Amino acid sequence: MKSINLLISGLVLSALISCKPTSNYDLDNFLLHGTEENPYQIVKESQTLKIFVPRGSQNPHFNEMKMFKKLSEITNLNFNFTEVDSSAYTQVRSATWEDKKNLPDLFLFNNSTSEQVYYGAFGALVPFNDDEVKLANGYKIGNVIDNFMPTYKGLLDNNFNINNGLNAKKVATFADGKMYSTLSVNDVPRDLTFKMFINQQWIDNLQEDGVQIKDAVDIETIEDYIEVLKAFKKYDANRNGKDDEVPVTAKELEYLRNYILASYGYAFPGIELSGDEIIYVPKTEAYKKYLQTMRLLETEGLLDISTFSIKTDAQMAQKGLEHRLGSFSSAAAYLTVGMNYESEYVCITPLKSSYYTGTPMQWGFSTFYPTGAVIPSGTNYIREVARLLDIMYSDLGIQLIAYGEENVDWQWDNEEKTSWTFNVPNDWKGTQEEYRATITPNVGTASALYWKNDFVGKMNDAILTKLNTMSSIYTPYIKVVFPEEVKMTNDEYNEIELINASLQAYQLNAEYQFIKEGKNTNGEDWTKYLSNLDKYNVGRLEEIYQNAYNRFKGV
Amino acid sequence: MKIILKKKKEKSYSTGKGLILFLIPTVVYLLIFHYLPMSGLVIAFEDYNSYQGIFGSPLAKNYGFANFINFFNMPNFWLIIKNTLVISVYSIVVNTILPIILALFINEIRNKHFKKTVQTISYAPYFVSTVVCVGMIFAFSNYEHGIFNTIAKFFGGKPSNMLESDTWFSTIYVVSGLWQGLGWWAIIYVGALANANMELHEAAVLDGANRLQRIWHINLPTIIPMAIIMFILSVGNILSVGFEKVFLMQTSGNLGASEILSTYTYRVSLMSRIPQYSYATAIGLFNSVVSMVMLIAVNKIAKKVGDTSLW
Repeated sequence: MKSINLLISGLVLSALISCKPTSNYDLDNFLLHGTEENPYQIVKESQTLKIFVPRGSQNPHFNEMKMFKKLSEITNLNFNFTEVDSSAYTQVRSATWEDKKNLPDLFLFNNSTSEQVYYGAFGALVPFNDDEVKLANGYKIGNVIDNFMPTYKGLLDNNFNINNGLNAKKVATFADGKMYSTLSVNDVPRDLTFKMFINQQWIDNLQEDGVQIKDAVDIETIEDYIEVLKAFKKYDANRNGKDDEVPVTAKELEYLRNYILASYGYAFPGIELSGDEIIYVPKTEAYKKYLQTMRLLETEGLLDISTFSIKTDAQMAQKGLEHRLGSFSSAAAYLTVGMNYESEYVCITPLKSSYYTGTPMQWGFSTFYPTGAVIPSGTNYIREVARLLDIMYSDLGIQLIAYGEENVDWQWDNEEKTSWTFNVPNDWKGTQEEYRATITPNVGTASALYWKNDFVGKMNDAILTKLNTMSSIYTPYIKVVFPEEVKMTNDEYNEIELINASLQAYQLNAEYQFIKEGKNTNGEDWTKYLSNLDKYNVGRLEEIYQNAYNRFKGV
Repeated sequence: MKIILKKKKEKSYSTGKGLILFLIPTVVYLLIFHYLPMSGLVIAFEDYNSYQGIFGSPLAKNYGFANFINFFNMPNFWLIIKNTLVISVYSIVVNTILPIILALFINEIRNKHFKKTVQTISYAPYFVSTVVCVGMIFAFSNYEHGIFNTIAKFFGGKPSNMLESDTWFSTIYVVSGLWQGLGWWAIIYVGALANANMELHEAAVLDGANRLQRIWHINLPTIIPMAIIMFILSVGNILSVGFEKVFLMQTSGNLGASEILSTYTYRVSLMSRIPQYSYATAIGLFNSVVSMVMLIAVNKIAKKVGDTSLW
């Protein structure tokens, strides 16, 4: 009985101690420059950080990932992860903010801009660039970037050595002049946009048979593209003796609509910045042209008949694996057609048209997003977190989150360091990406803090090298439809969400009716559609974006 | 005499007191998990944010009714209500009548083994998960190889993408739901039929009634009160069409028929970059109030017309 009482008392006491997070924080435990032997060491005595992360279905637990094991080893920090499945991420994150006494020390990855606007206004987030930052115990530490993040500061000052017109500092800075998050940076061309593939082998087959069509590399206009698709449909392009070719397919029109629309001068079927003017593209003449072209693809039998009910990549890949697809969009061709036919497909450039003869454009991602890492105020471990993040932006961190540890998970192929090889164990039964998921959360939902082309692009892998080369054709034409530098107010974000919740469903359904059911784009149907868009508050949507953009431009 | 009565009363009260103790866990459960969370409904009248919490968030505009006003002014408000009601009423009608017919049919089977086999086969689909069920729907309605289109082609019909059509959506939803739930729902009526008065059957046989007449005049009236109760409960959920199945079945082609209250609420609350919790709660509250009014009204009508009601 006595021993049971002692046990209970012990448990209660330890519970009480663990509920007192800030009282026993030792200021001197932090190491600003590491030690002589280990510059990466962050604390003298081991310390645990609470980190909130999104976790994808293919990821193992974060504390089992090699990357975090290595970071823990070199920094002397332990990590206590709150892993949240991507399907419930938003809800759990909101619930986490409710329990303010138990907030994590770090929200790593996927920090939405709108959330930062909101919580930033309450002083709930640590502004990385504020000179007055204090720990929860009141100890002033000053500017986090200047004092604890030299690598990140250097990268910010040099715009991450990326010269595409985007200003990293402006993207990271909110309307109140503060940086509530570090940046997510990506300059790997193959991951900045979608890729449109076409079967060059089929083109070769048809040219051999005397059909006059252009090579993939020569397809420059939507008219050229349609001619090739028509030939795929008309002849036995895959030479299997059956009339089973599907000239073009897409998963619910995903990316195909961007690709076709771009040939008429807009990259995105929603809000887009054109010059200094915000336009809701689905109400434009260009969008009407897009619908007419899609209708043509539909009536000529060039568009996969099941396009609108294909909901998964696996469904789309069914026809690809049967060698029936002429053209499609995918992250990589082998994902859709398998390794047997992968080599037949090449990327085609963004198109122009007789309607639009300007510079071709391709919808794409921004290189900078203010979504990397957020520190909630109310923690004493701001300096520790800041140094940890700084390591994650260093070459070591970039390599760890991409492909793991040098000479363990990968090694340079030569002294000039122009390429490196990823070591997948021979007895590994899954795919290369599945193995990579055991190293880094970058496979799945979490994006790397810095996905750097100077490292990632040097990987010695035949398929990825080919993909890098093919993707580079899009780089000069990538259009980010609304600049990431522009931030809105909380009320504006809320209003946009409410309008979009109704508008997007209506717009998708209307698009279907024009393409599949043949509603008339030149008559009453189009007029009614435009009038419905007005009812769905498109005008107000444009106004909100325009106001935010004007504020940003100082108009 | 008085003393005896008093003693009896005391005895029944003390016995009842013991029984009341058994109620406590249920009452506590209901209070904690059903009534206490209702306090969260207050966020329907707020501009809720998780940082300030349920009781710290500011009151919404228009004296707290801004979320409701926004909802009623939404351009697709009536479309969503119409779609919800179509699916709901369609389901209620089909799912109330057909299980009764199946139960009456099962009740007439004399061979015990065959009866059990029919029951097992008919309720087995109930255990198929919604995701698998929708997967099957997509596979069966596949344009090229789906069984529906193969049959249509066999009989000279034209194949079609059924899940891309507004026209077919509610039928596919209801029929697949019926396939899943028919046997399960019939169990209740089969159970009720077991209570049919055998003396009435014997008397009817003596009077020369045939099987159909006995079903119509004895079996059916036996289960009608149960059917009315089930119907009233269904009407109480008239706007609460399940979310998962409709959402999984949605394609851009059928959005004109498949966008219902629950999918819209999901879109605006959980798919949104900034979850609109207050707005979604306002929709939920509206849904509950309408359901409650419907439940009370139908219950009252049922009581007046058929003398059967929930309370």
